[in-house]
Amino acid sequence: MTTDTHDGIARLTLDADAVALSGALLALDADTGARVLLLSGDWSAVGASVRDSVDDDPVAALGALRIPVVAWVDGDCHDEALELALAADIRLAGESATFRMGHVREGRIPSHGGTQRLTRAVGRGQALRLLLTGETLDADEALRTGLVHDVGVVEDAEELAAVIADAGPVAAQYVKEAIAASADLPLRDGMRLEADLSILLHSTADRAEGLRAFAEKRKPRFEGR
Amino acid sequence: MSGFDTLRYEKRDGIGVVTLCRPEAINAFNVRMRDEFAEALGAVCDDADVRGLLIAGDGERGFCAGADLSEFGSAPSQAVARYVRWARDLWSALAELPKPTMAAVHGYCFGSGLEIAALCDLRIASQDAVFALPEASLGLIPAAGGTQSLPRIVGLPRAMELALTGRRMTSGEAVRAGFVDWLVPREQLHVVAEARLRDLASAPADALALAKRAVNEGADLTLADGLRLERRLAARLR
Repeated sequence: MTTDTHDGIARLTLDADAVALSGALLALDADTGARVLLLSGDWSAVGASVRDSVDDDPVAALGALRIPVVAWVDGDCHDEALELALAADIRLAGESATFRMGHVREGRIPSHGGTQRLTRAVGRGQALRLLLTGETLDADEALRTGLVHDVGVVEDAEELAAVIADAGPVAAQYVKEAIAASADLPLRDGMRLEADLSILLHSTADRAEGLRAFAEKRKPRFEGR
Repeated sequence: MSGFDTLRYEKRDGIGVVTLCRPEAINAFNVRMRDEFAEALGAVCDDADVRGLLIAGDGERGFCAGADLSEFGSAPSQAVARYVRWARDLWSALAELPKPTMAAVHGYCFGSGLEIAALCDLRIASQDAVFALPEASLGLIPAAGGTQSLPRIVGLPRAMELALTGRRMTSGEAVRAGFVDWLVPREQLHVVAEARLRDLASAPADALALAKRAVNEGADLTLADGLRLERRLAARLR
């Protein structure tokens, strides 16, 4: 599995090889040209492979990625596949997508962060409902539950990734870090992190370029430094 | 109270109203406004006759278009910028004000404007209100608590999406997301906001302050610790 990076958008097409996915994600963290990751492909196949791969955890690798991640989900996104999708930052679904956290019906519980990330994404009430009933949601139900951000077509996901790729790359990473930390930190500590990251950005050429471009009413040219 | 250049502070029948007042710049938040806002907050906090705080924006175009970027880059060093940020912790002071707070939002509510609204307890808006966090598109991040306050109101995924894309959220979406509590016609916004705040602020002040504290502090605690905090605070009112 290889990552295809163009115009700051790294693209990974999921298939039945979770080990290769882990490798690609680890390599991606060193790819300085990648400003956002767009994940798409066969969620059902990758889910089965994640379940079978004991030594490799691509879900953890995805969750640890510094750049923002957009997941495009069309088809069945169940169990381990849903756990993987929950490690992305933004989820968009096609009309035919379905979602289910069905571990409990099989006498298991999620082991790739499903109980933790699902709860943080949709709240405790909805998380318990989905985990305990194992019910299958269609795309519109997933939208109402807050499991996905929008229902649309793959071009919507491309457009979203392009918008994020246009942002200041360091700023986008810091936004991701600060918002992710909001789930774990008391408000005061979270505000400290946010302020420190904000002031650390003063050292970047991108911040100066962003302010210059704003003053000159043109599009900024960010370099990621 | 007089003597402010960038905002108005008025006491009206039991509540304090801070109106951001740089309409020529859609009330862009600058250093002067920060200092005057801090002073007004202190006045609200210390004045027993003021039972709640309403924050509004002057002019036709909006509540607040964000930070005044023309002043960015004026801090002499990162160490000084960090010192200045904590020399007077305005945003924690707003979040922790022991009185109910409400933002009345019309038109543009971008960047720091959204963050100020997010640090209030309640938000009322007119249909023309539009919300966005455009910082990342400028190579910046929200720095008035937005990365912490917004996910606490609308949840992690939506906060992440809004802050990463900088896209505009309409008033209708803001209501559905739970960010805006009430939507009212523009011409009634400030009248209805004042009436709502005055009405809820007529509850006993200590109960309001302690309920707010229990909810906000409890959100950062384990359930067991939160329940202990609630019992301790409730005992003060008996």
